[in-house]
Amino acid sequence: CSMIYGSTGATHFDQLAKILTGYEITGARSSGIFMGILFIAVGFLFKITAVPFHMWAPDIYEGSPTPVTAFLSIAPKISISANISRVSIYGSYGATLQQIFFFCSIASMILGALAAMAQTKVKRLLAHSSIGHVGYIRTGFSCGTIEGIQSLLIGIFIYASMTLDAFAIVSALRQTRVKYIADLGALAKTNPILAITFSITMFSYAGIPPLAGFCSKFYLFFAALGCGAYFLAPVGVVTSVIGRFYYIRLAKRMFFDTPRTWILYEPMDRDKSLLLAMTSSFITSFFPYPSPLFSVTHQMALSSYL
Amino acid sequence: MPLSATMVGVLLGLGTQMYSNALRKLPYMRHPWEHLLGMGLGAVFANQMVKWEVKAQEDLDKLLLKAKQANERRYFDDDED
Repeated sequence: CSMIYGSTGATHFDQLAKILTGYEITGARSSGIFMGILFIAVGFLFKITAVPFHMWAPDIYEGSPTPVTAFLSIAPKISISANISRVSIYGSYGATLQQIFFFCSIASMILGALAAMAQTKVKRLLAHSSIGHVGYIRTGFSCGTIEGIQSLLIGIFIYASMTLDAFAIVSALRQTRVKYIADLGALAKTNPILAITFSITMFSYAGIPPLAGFCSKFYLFFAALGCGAYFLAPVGVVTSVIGRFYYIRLAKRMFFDTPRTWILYEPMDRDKSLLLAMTSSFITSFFPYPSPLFSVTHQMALSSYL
Repeated sequence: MPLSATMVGVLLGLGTQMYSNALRKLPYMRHPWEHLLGMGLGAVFANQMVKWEVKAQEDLDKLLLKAKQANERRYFDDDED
C-alpha cells in the first residue's frame, strides 16, 4: 500500500483507477506500482491459503482447536474475497494481477486435489480440501467479469455452509477421540445418521449433483468459460474428479471398513446437532430453489461495477 | 403460493428438528413442543424468504436497467465520457 501511495500519491480507489488505467492505456511502466500491487496480492493470497502461499495451513488447521480451525477456514475466505474484490476490481485490476490469480487458482486446484490424497488425518484432509476450494473460488475472481464475481459470491456462501457442517461433525467426533481417517471405520454402525450427514457433506464438497457444491462449481466453471479461460475450466473439472477419490474414500471408510479400535459413541450437544441439521438441510435443499442466492449475488456483483 | 411456501417451511422445520434428534440418537419425536417450534419457525422462514426473493428480484431489475442506461450513455451517446 505504501509503495502504491509513494508511486501514485493517491489512496482513494477512484483516483487509483484513473491513474492505473492511464498506465495501461499509455503502456508506461512503474516498478513501484507493480511491486505494490504484487505485495498486496501476495498478502491476500497468504491469508486465503492459496498456492504457493498455503504451507502454513495444514499444520495450523491440525494443531488448533476445532472451533478455531473452523473460524480460520471460513472467515478469512469471506473477508479477503470481499476486500480483494473491492481493491482489485474497483481500483487496480489489470493483466498483471489477472495472470497472478489465474496461476494461483490452477495451482491451488491441482495441489488441493493431489496433496489431500496422501493425508491420514481428518483435519489435514479438510485443510487441503479447503486449499482446493480456494482455487475454485479464485477462478471466479480471476475472470474479472460480473458473472465471475457472482460465481465467487455463490461459491463463498456455499463453501461456508459446507465447511461449517464439516467442522461441526469433526468437533462432534473429536469428543470420541477421532483424529485419523482410519478411526472413522464403522461410524455407520455406531451413529448411522452422523455417517450419512458426513457423506452428504463430502459429496457436496466433491461437486456431486443435486447437492449445493455442484451448483457452486457449475457456476464457477461456466463463468470461467464465459470470460475465455478455456484452460481454467477443464483443469477445475479434472481436479474435481480427482478430488472425489478422497471424499468418497471417507464414505467408504465409514460404511464398509472396520476400525482399528472401536470407539464408543458419546452424545453430541444440541447446539451442534441443530447446526448440523440446518446446514445439511441447506446443502440438500439448495438445488430446487437457488434463485434467492442467485438474485442477491447478481445484485452484489453489479453494484461493485456501477 | 403462500400455502405451498408455508407447507414447505413447516416440513423443513419439522424435518430439521427430527434430524437433530436423530443425530443425538434420541427418539425422533422427543420433546414434541420443539417440533412445533421448528414447524412455526420453518413456516415463517419460508414465507419471509419468498417475500425477500421477490424484493431482491425487483431491486435486481432496477439495477440492470440502471446499468443498461449507464452503458448507453457511455457508448451510444455523443458525450466525451
